[in-house]
Amino acid sequence: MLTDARSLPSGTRRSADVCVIGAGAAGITLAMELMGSGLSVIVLESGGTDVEPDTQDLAAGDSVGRTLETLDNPVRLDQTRLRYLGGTTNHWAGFCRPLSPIDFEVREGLRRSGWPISHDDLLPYWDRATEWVRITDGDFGLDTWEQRLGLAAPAIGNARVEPFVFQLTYPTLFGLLYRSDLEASVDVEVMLHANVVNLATDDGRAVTAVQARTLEGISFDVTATAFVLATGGIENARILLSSTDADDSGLGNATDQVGRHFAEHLQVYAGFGVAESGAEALAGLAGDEVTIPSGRHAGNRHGAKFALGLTDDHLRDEATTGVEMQLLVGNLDAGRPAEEAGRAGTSEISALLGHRAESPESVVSLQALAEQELDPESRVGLGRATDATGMRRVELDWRYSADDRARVLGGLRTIAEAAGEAGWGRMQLIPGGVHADAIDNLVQGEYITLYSATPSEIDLDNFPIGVGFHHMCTTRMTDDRNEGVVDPDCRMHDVDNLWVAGSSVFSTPGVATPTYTIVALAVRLADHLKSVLL
Amino acid sequence: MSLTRRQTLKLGSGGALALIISGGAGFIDRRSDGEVVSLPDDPTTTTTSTSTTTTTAAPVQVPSLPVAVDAAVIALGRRVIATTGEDDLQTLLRALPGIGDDPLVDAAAIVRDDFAQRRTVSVDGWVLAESEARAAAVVALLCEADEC
Ligand SMILES: Cc1cc2nc3c(=O)[nH]c(=O)nc-3n(C[C@H](O)[C@H](O)[C@H](O)COP(=O)(O)OP(=O)(O)OC[C@H]3O[C@@H](n4cnc5c(N)ncnc54)[C@H](O)[C@@H]3O)c2cc1C
Repeated sequence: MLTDARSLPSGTRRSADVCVIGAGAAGITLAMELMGSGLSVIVLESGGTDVEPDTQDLAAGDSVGRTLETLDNPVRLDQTRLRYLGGTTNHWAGFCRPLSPIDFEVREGLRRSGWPISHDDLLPYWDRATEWVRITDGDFGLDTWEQRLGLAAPAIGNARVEPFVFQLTYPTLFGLLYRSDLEASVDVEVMLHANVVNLATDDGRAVTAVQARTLEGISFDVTATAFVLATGGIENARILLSSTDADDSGLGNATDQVGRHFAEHLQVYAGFGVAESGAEALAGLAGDEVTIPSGRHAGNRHGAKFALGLTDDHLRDEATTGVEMQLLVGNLDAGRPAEEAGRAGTSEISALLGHRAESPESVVSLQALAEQELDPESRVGLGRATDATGMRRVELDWRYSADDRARVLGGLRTIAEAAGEAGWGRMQLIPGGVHADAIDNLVQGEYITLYSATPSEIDLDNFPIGVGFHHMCTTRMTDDRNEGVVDPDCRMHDVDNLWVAGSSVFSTPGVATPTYTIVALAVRLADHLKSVLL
Repeated sequence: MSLTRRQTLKLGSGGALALIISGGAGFIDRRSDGEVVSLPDDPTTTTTSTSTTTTTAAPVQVPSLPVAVDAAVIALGRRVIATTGEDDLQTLLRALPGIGDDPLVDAAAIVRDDFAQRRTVSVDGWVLAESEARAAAVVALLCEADEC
């Protein structure tokens, strides 16, 4: 059922077997998986069923390190996540891809690499996650997808580089899609406008109640046998740091790990590619739609497309970090905000280039997403300012290093070399040089001037790096409580009845888009809670 | 001036390298008496049965370019020279693999092998095989000397 905390009398105490905090991808998946299990569930959600400015303001905070940005436009913290039913999936792009086996391995030369669970451990949960994110299935094999799409993956591959497939939801807005199931449920109650402000505890070893309040000032709490934090990669840490009943440093933070290792995916508008082999070679990069054959969403359609990444062998041999590259077809407005430029299609581009282009349809723009090495100093902390609920606002000190930047460049060049080796074509790497006025320059006909800087002006030590809006690793999953916050079951190392869901539990960021794995981990956590509580 | 996409397109499939190979580098030495000299393995050394001595290498034959050269390739060659600083025709010719060995050598294969071995150079951000970049530089130098 869907209820509203604004109708509760102040001082109300509610109780359930499981109290989930946050109704985004992780919280809703957990609720759906627990539905009908015999466990009673209360989900506390900060927002309503649509965006509300006052609630959205609770997500505001300061960036004191690197700023989160797209191109050279800084992005405010409250723009990077959404606070209402469905959470940030209300504006995600829907790209799905599992992590690679290498992500789970300890890698020589990389700080704090590896997970305490294996890739194989997650396989059955990724399979089940496909139902919730609404993609065909857990088979991401190239052959399978070449067959399903009737398109060839780019013929670029050697020991270092390989194509892979993205399954694209369109995109699945969890709040919208699962709202009616949640409304109809008798054992799951989603309480809207319930802002959690404190995890109450006597001794720091267990949560006694979750304290929440509405923006109208109604205070209430919820007791439960098990509590799950599922408020996103930044807020999970913020709530733990803010819960100071037993310790000023926060709850479960005796080893000073909460909020550390904040990681983002480094997004780079990398340059251009010219396919020697012509437009046909690009069809797989543009992708196509497929129909989900069976299961909960049978008959629905979603997309799939191919992209390029570094092989696990290469990452292992070179002790380097992951880089993936999308070759964007018919998107020569690369980097220009979509709302300004629209998405120029191939035919417009052809017309724009006119006689100056020999075969404009064989040109792609390159967009890369890369992994950063973990840095304990990159962290979510608390600022001095408080929000309308009285909680201290987030202060984000995001860091990445010159080595991270060098590894991104190395990865891009490795991919460009593979493209040449395969006879696919040539790539021009002008990382970060793209400019929002690109399309105007394109009209002038000089392709290179799509970039605001000439290639020789690009500062390879300081080119702009954007983000994927993926907030990871702030409550890492580890065996050792001195290096992370949750154990392999996603239970807090130091708090017996508190579990965490979302990308904050990622031990390492990897390079895959995170939500598919967030959902898989939520499915796994639901199984675990059932086994513990039933 | 920077390279345009169009110039880079011209490099496809062996591009400038194919141009030079088909132009007969290794078979016409305009600066000698016409004797065919093939490229030694190591261009700066000659090996005798008893000793290895460093000598001034015999000049490599200068190719005659068989077709009208696209201005784009010349422009690219100039950018390669500006980027690498290497503007000596003989040095560039010596460093080109395959030349003088076999007129039917597959230029595209040489280029691909450069990429496979990661022998690449970045020119205005374009990641090019060393061989194709050098070949473009050779073309530019020849054209500057009115040889094309
Ligand atoms: C523009 C954009 C594009 C993206 N594209 C992709 C993509 O293509 N692929 C991909 O994998 N990921 C993508 N993401 C990331 C994706 O949206 C997140 O990984 C995902 O939504 C995280 O799920 P979550 O449940 O952990 O957190 P969220 O979805 O953020 O949900 C958290 C929920 O907790 C609630 N909450 C927060 N604080 C409190 C509190 N104190 N009390 C009660 N409730 C609270 C919030 O209101 C929210 O509903 C994108 C993100 C953005 C911004």
